[in-house]
Amino acid sequence: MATKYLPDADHVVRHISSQLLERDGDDQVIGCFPQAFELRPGEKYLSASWLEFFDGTRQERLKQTAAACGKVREVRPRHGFAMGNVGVIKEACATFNQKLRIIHEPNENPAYTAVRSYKSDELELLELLASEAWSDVVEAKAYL
Amino acid sequence: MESKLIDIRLDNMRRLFSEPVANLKRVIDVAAVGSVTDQLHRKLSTLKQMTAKVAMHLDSTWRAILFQALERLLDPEDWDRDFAMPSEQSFSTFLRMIIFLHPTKRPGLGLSPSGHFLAAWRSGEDRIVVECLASDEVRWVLSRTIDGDRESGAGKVQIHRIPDVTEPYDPEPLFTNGDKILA
Amino acid sequence: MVDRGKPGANTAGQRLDHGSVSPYNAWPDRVLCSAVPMVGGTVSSGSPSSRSRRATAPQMASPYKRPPITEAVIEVRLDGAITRENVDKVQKRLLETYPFSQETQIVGVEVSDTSAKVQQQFQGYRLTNKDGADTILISPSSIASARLAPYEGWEKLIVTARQNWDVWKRLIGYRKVVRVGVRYINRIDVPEPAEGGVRIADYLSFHPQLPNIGLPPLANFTMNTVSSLGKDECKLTLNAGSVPSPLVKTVSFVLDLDVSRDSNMPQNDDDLWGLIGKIRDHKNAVFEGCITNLSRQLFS
Repeated sequence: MATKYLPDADHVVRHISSQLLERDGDDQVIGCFPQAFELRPGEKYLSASWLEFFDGTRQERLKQTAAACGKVREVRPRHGFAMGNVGVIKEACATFNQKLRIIHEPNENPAYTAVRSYKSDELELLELLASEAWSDVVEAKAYL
Repeated sequence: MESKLIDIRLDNMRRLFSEPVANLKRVIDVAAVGSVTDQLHRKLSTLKQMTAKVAMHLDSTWRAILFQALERLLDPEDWDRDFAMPSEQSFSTFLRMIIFLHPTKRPGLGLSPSGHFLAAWRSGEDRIVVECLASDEVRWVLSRTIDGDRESGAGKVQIHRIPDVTEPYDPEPLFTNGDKILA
Repeated sequence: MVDRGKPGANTAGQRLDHGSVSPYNAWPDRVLCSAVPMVGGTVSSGSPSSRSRRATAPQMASPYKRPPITEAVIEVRLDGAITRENVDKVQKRLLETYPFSQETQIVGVEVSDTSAKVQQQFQGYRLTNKDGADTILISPSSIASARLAPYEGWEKLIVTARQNWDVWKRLIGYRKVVRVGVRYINRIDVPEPAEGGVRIADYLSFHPQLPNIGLPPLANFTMNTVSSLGKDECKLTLNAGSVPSPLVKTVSFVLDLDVSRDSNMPQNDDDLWGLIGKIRDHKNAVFEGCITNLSRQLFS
């Protein structure tokens, strides 16, 4: 089966646990911590979902993405989703000499995507992702 | 009678080094026992008791907000089972950092998957995030836009070095908030 | 309190030298002890400016903005011991207010040539409220109400302690009171000056007196005294010493004052709690006598 790379114009969605969401004084989500993009021990790639795998408006797509994520992990109302443009994410990582491969790899989540050839050693890269390249963060409750 | 008096005195001296005056820096992470819910409840209780050791140096409103944040972070309903339990050593570093830096702006509080406490201060799009490790060590990353150019820096230092390593980025707007007192 | 807007500012508004002290050094390089007599006598050393920092007469200060209290305890001890069943009854009732309960035990280890035996004996319960700052310790022969920092004032503490006592009495009934005590553990946190070392005499009106033979400054100290207070048949147990500070670049002293009475105890509740109020006043007077104006500045 041919490797399906996501087009640069499309978007990836990463599930963010509530502990990694940054909130303001009114408990509103304003972003996520850079550690949300850190590979955990044993992880070889970042997990995400392909937003444009689904049809519809952004809202509809996110709802379907939330449902799909929910098939492989628990998604709670106070969790979040971080969206980023594939091309922008690749560009950001390229500034740290990383040539990403963002590949559609469906499992129980038909939109499942692996962000490969990614290293999370540099905190500045994680912050670049969290604050710019992959920084459109929403709370899950609106999409459950 | 005399030996009883000596016993009393020795007991009083031992109590000097008992729990109320234990060194916040020398805490250890308590091993996880029981269900996840039980573990989280115990951790929360421990973190609040740790805060009591230095509560006289914290603004009372912020202490209440801190406790609310801890309750949310350690809520069993929201807990990610892939996360390690929150680290007491990390929380100790966090408390010592807050009191040492005396920021007048409250940080956003988070928890990393490895159980380390995260603190973030913002000013518009600019931000500093500090990950509190054990033994007063922190990992920091700062990003600011200065004259239209984005600059960033990161490192791993002891708490007392934070002002020195962040000084080139003029971090004061991140940490200060008018006349509000945090600690 | 002093402006703390700049990281690293000390109480005098001067910037601390962050590079000069290892952060791993929870103990100060030196705890300076001048040759000043411990009890009575005259101040005989130190610079004129340091002498002026010492209070020569204790002041009954108004409540402090940041009281240095780490724990305040009111304890009532009773004659004999109630049954485990009764202790459990009290614990269950108190769970409504103090939902976190932990059984406390005395652990003894008996070692012989051939074996080692560990014995655990039930001692009581330690219950805490939701925010962890209010604690109550119950045992078969005592009930102690404690408040950790932040201290919210005597009025709140005594009301809480009396409420807990009322719960005990309603469930257990009358038992002869044999001892009451009020114990305040204070921790005085002193920002470490750039030149390192803190003079004990600048913050406490009593301290160990070293022989005047050119010894280097103290690394740390511990003191314990037990004496009659000379008032209301009370006894004073005073513990003091330098302790590892929970704060960065700070030197900390503990001042632990325990005023108690164990003779001719009032058995009527109003008289008992009236006595506890007096004991607190005595404790305050001792506290004010133990600290200097520099200390007061730290918590004002």
